[in-house]
Parts: sequence; structure tokens; C-alpha cells
Amino acid sequence: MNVPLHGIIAEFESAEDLLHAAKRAREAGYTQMDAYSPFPIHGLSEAIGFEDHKVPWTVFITGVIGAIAGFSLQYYISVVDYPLNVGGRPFLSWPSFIPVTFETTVLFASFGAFIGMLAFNGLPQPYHPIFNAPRFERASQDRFFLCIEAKDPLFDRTKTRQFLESLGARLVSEVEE
Amino acid sequence: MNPVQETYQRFARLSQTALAVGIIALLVSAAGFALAGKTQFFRSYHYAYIVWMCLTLGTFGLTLLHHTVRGSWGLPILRFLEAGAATLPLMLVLFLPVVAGMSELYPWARPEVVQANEHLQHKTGYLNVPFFIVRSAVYFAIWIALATVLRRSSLKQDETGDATLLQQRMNIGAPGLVLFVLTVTFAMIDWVMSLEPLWQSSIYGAWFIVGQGLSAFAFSTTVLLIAARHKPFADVVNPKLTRDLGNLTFAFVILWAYTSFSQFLIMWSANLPEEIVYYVKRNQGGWQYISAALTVLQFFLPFLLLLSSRVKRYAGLLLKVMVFILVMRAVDLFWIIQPAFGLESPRVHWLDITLLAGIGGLWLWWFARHVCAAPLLPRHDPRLQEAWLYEHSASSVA
Repeated sequence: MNVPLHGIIAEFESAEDLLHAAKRAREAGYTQMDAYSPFPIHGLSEAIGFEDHKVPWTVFITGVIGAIAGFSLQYYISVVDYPLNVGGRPFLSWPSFIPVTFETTVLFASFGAFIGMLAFNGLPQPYHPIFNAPRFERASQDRFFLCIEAKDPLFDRTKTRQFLESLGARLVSEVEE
Repeated sequence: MNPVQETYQRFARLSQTALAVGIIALLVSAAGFALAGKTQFFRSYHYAYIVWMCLTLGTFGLTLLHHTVRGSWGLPILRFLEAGAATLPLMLVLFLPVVAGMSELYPWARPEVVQANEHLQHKTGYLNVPFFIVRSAVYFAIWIALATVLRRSSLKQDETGDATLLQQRMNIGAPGLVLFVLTVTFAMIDWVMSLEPLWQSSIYGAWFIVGQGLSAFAFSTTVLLIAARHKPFADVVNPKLTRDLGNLTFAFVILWAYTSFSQFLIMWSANLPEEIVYYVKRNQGGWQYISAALTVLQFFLPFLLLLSSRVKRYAGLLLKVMVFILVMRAVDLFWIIQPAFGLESPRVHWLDITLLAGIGGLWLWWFARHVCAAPLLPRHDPRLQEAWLYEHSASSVA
């Protein structure tokens, strides 16, 4: 009985039920929760109070770095290191630098999105307690889960359990740490 | 009076005000015909006409796009797009002054210019007055026919609820879009590119179509966001919708930059006298500041603003961006058209303004009348329920 808990998880049958439950949990004052579903549900991240702009900002900043890097690379090659007279044009022929600058912007931004997403999600992660939850494999098939985590200030083993049950969950169970 | 009727009344008032403004501005412009001379009049008229025609074609193109891809983003603005496309018959009538002023506008329509230039003589097979008029008539016939059929079908479905009409519009929309791109490409080559008949660009049609799409997105979103405080629009405008419209506008901002820059880069790289003259004209005598302003204000600024999810979430912020884009579109077309008339430095003639207001007044009058003539939101479209569902999930969260 004294096993530390990761949280209490509730299983729902539909996206609407999950959305509704997440909303109710927020209204009840819970802040530390996570939702799991087989497909993206519009409005769910807002419903569980997920406000995180780290990834978008990472993409933006890496994109800007990519633009500067791409342009600087061409500037260094064409103006500093190996200036060539091409049809009498200036060495700093910026219009012809733009396509490469655009490409490096996209490239760096994509890396920023991919690596940033992994890093801020804490991935790769060999162990996560959520997989202790019964029937959790169905989160990737046809069930919708809402987990209120033990670190939530309002978390109470009995009350939280009762609360989740009152939301019409199909199954409510404790998740061991 | 119920709130929806009040919204209708607002559109009716817009229509009356626009008509009054339009008629006054056109009367003033008619005086300008005598005061400033017919050459200036026709040049200003051509510019103002193309600005509003780009919006008309943009709304028409988006109607076709909406019926083809059936995105839920198109439903709340569908009636504005349809009403915009419904101005095509009006634009046909307003095209007559362009035909009347052809010899003032188009060098190839002046026999003495053609006689003095061998290149133009070789182009007379295509660039001649009767063929130009026939082609324009064909474009209008195709556009008006398509727009009318789609509008009727959409209104009929509102009455009868017959869901097979949805598929029917999709079947028209997809080939219609192909026809649209082809006809608009030809129309823009005829009406605008041939102002400088010795110059050519193969991306021209795409460049204009993208600009038209941008105008239409900015315009319909503007109308929607202004109307969003009133029913029934208040029920469908939500963060999900504003994000979608913001993102689509964002895509068109990028596409506009892409096509503009492609055209510039290819001509700049080749540096052939007959091509580069276009940009030489537009980068001296003060036009270079407009070129720079367009790059910064029609690309970088809206790009950065629409990148932010905050701007797309708040209707008030998004509205400002959209109005700004609409203004920049008029500046963009000024930059495209006026140097073609030999205007060596950017100067706005007062006729440019009065004709912009005159044609715009008539345009908005016709537009608002057509908005009033139908349910403000497509009623029996099963997909509006999708939009409603999003609305409920999103608003209940907020």
C-alpha cells in the first residue's frame, strides 16, 4: 500500500469524454495532469492547461541561426575566401544567396523542431511509470486516458480517485512510480 | 428584432453607404476626366480597376478552392467569398471604360507605336484590339458561369438540404480551379503585363493568382472579424478558426514572396536587357523605396506577425494584420502598374484615390447586397456541424 504513486489514471471511451474530463479536472483545481490518446484531439492541450512555447521558440531561434549561418557561409566563400568575378556582378550578390539562405533556415528550423521536441519531452526515456497503468497499451489504439499526477498539490489518493470515478471513467486505477 | 436581423441590417447599411460613397467618388472622378485629361483618367481607372478585380478574382478562386478541398475553415467566410465572386457581372460593366481607354493604356493598341517597332509588329497576331476584347469576354463568360452555378447550388442546398449538391459543387470546383488558373493567367497577361508589351515573365499568372488569394483571405477575414461581434458569426468565430485563417493567410504571404522573388531572381541572374528593364524601372527615381517597403511590409512583417500563435488567437490583433495586408496589396499593385505607364517616380494622383474609392464603393455595395441576399452562414452544410463542434470544445475551454 505504501508504494509511491505516479498518479491516478482514468480510462475513457471517447475523445469527447476525455476532453470533458480534462476540463472538469481543471475546474476542480488540478494542474498536474497528462492526457493520452491514439490521435491528436483539438483543444486537449489547452484543456489540461498545457502552456509551453519552448519548442516554437526553439524552432524560431534555430531558424534565425540557420539564416545567418547560410548567408554568412556564402558571404565568406564569395566575398572573403575566394572572390570570383561572375559576369561583372558584385561579389556580394545577395539575391543569389537567398535560395541557399532559405534552405539553411528550413534545415536548421527542422532540426530545431525535431531535436527540441525530443529534448523538451525528455526523450528518449527508457522508463516511464505511466506504462505501469493497466490496459495502457490501448492508449495507442482506441482508449483515452487522463492521469492526475501525484505531484499535484490537490492530489489525494482517495479523493482524486473518487473524483475521476465521478467523471464517468470506464476504469480508474493507481499508477505506481 | 432578433440579433441576426440586426447583422443583416448592418450589411444593408454598409451597402447603402458604399453606394453613396462610390457614386460621389465616381462623379468627382468624372470631373477629373475633364480636369486632368483622359490619359491620366484611364491610367488611374485601370489601376483602381485591377486592385478591385484582383480581390474579385481572389474571392472567386477561394470559392473554387473551398468547394474542392472542403475545409471547415471556408464555411464561415463562404458567403463573403460567394458575394465577392458575385461582383463579376458588375466588374464586367466596369471593364468597359478599360476597353474605351485601350489606346491610352496599351502601347500595342496604338498603330503609330506598332508601326515604329518591329517586335510589336510580330506580336499583333495576339495583341490586337478585337482579339483582346474577345478574350476578355471569354474570361468573363467562364468566370460568371462558374460563379453563378456554384452560388446557386450553395443557396439551393440551404433551402432544400440536398446533400448531393455538395458533391456536385466539388465536381465543378476541381476542374473549375484548373480553368481558373489558366484564364486568370491569360487575363493578367492581357490586362496588366501587356502594358509593357516588350517584357514577359512566365511566372506572372501564378504571381498574380497568389496575390489575389492573399487579398481575398485578408478581405474575407477582415469582414468576418468585424462581424464577429454579432450573431450568427459570434457563434462560429473561435481561436481554432482564426488560427486556420491566419495560417492560410500566412501561407499566401510566403507564396507571394516566393513567386515575387523567383521572378526577380531569374531576371536579375540572366540580366537580359528586355527582361531586367522591368526591375530597373522599379528601382530608381524613388520606386526603390516602394520595392524595399513591399519586401519588408508585405512579406517580413506579416510573416513574423502571423508566425505568432498569439496574433492568430486574438481576433483584434489578427484583424489589424489583415487590414494592413489589404493596404499593402494596393501599394503592391501601384508598384506593378504605375511604372508601366512611364511614371518615373512614385506619385499618387488624386484620381487614383477617387477611382479606388469609386470602384470600391460600387464593389462593396454589390458585395453587401449579395451577403444580405442569403443566409449569413451556409445552413445545411453538414460540415458546419464540424465547425460548431470545434467551437464548443474551444469556447468551453477558454
